This record gives sequence, structure tokens and C-alpha cells, in this order.
Amino acid sequence: MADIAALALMNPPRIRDLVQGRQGRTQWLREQIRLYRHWTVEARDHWEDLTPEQQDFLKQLAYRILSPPRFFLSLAGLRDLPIVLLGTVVILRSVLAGELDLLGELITGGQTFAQTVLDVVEQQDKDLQQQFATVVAQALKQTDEERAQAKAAFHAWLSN
Amino acid sequence: MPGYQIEFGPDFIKSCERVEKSHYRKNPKGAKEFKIALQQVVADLSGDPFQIPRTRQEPSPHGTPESSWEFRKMELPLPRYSGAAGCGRIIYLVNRVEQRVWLLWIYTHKEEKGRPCDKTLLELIMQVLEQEKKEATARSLDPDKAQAPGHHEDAPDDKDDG
Repeated sequence: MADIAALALMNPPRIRDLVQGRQGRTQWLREQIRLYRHWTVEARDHWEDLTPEQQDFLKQLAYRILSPPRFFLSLAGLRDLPIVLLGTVVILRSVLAGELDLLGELITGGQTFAQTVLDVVEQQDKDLQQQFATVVAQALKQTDEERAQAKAAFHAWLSN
Repeated sequence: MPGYQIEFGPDFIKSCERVEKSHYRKNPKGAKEFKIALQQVVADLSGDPFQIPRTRQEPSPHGTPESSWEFRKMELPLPRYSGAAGCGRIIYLVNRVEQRVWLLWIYTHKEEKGRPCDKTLLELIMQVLEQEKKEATARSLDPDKAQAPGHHEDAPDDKDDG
């Protein structure tokens, strides 16, 4: 559902055109797949070259793909509901037309893109990187006894 | 093929408990599924940590000196959650030569966003590596302790971790 919402909200006029048959659905699906691939490369390899607005767009899109829409929690959410429903119609027609491979590629592409953006966001987060450095450092100074204790604690926690 | 030995960093269990508390305090079934997912992670890593999907090598944390440990990250979708809160990540170290995996920390993307800054520990890392160097020197001088640092007599039992 989150994937559909993200796609539909990216370009509402296109979704309306698709529902009304003014544009080819298969072509649109291929275009979205290509876009996700392109954005994945942009996020992974060229993040620093993007403008803050472009970075923000990619972040917002990634979070939208990952997060389920909450239509009834805000006015903006309610406003989005109709266009997301239209997006659902497009996807359902795709399913009926047997375009499952394309839909699968689309969903995988969206998830890969979103996870890539999360990775980039984490890499840019200095506090988080410092936290990583902390846990690495603390692990490296563990004694054998402490390691055995940590292992026992983990298994005890699992069986609780 | 012998399996990888799994170690647990001092923060790993704390981070597991923190995720359990923040995500599954009122959801015992979810908590159980979370633990099963972690058991599976341990089993997978003790097999071959490089063949697991949704894992990748990450750049070492800034300031970490070169070592034989690879810094890696695994995506772990948290049971019964979606969105950023359901995007669990596990960070761990892998030593290919010693065939050891060191689980360090589990977190969710949402949880860590805006986390307050901890003090930089570059200095501490340097101390740790200095200490490692001293231990390695001591081992090379003492034939009784000449085995590799990751070699433990109970290593074969670790296959039961999963």
C-alpha cells in the first residue's frame, strides 16, 4: 500500500490520465522502474552532487515508500486519499492484465531505492556514525570473560 | 565447511532489549517473533555471513583505523512493524581469516534519527587498537598464548547458536 501511495502521490495528473486511459499503463510502469533505478544510483553515488531540494525529495519519497499512509490522521492525509485510490485502480488493472513481473520489478526497485536512501541518510548522520564507532570500540576491548558473559546473556534473553 | 563463530558485543544485548521494549512492550507475540528472527540471524551468520541477502559491507565508522575486521550491516524487517520503525538494522564485524562474527548493535532507523550526540571515541578506538597491538606482541613472546585471538576451544559448539 505504501508503494502505491508513493507512486500515486508522485504525479497525480499522470495517475488520472492512466485511469482515464489517456496514457499506456505498461509504458508508465517501465518508466517508474527506470526512475527508481536512476534515483538509486543518484542517491548511492552522487548524493553530494544533488541540491538540498533534490536530496529532500529523495528522502521524502523513500520515507513515503517505507511508511504506510495514514489518511485519517490529518487533513493532508485525507486530501491524498482519492489519488491513492486511483493509483490502486491502476495497479489492480495491471494485475488483471498479468503484468506481475513488471509490478514485482517496480516494488523491488522502490524498496531498493528506499533502503539505499536510508543508508545514505545514516552515512550523513554524524551522531549515528559516532555511535557506530563507539560500539566497535567497546566490542574490540571486550575480554574473553566478557564475551562469554555477553553470549550467555543473549541466550538467556532469547529464552525469556 | 566449518561455521563462523558468533560473538556478542557488550551493547548488542542492551540494544536487543531496547528494541524489544520500544516495539514489543505490549505485544508478547511480536516479541517472540522478534526473538525468533534474531535466532535466525545468528544461525544464518554462523553459516556463511557473506551469502545472506540484504547484508553489505559498510564504510568503517569515521576514524576507525584499518584492521582485519569488516564492518557490515544487515537489514532486519521487524515483525509486525512497517515504515521506518520496522526497518531494523544490525551492525556487525566479520573476520574472514578467523571466521568470527561480532554482533554489535541492532537499531531501527526511526529510533536513531536525531539521537543525541555521544562523545567522539576516536581516542578510545586508538587506545583499544594500541592495547590489541600490545596483546599481539605479548602473544608472540609467550608460546602458550600463541594461538590466534579469535581461536577458542569451544568454537565448534557455536554451531548450536542457531
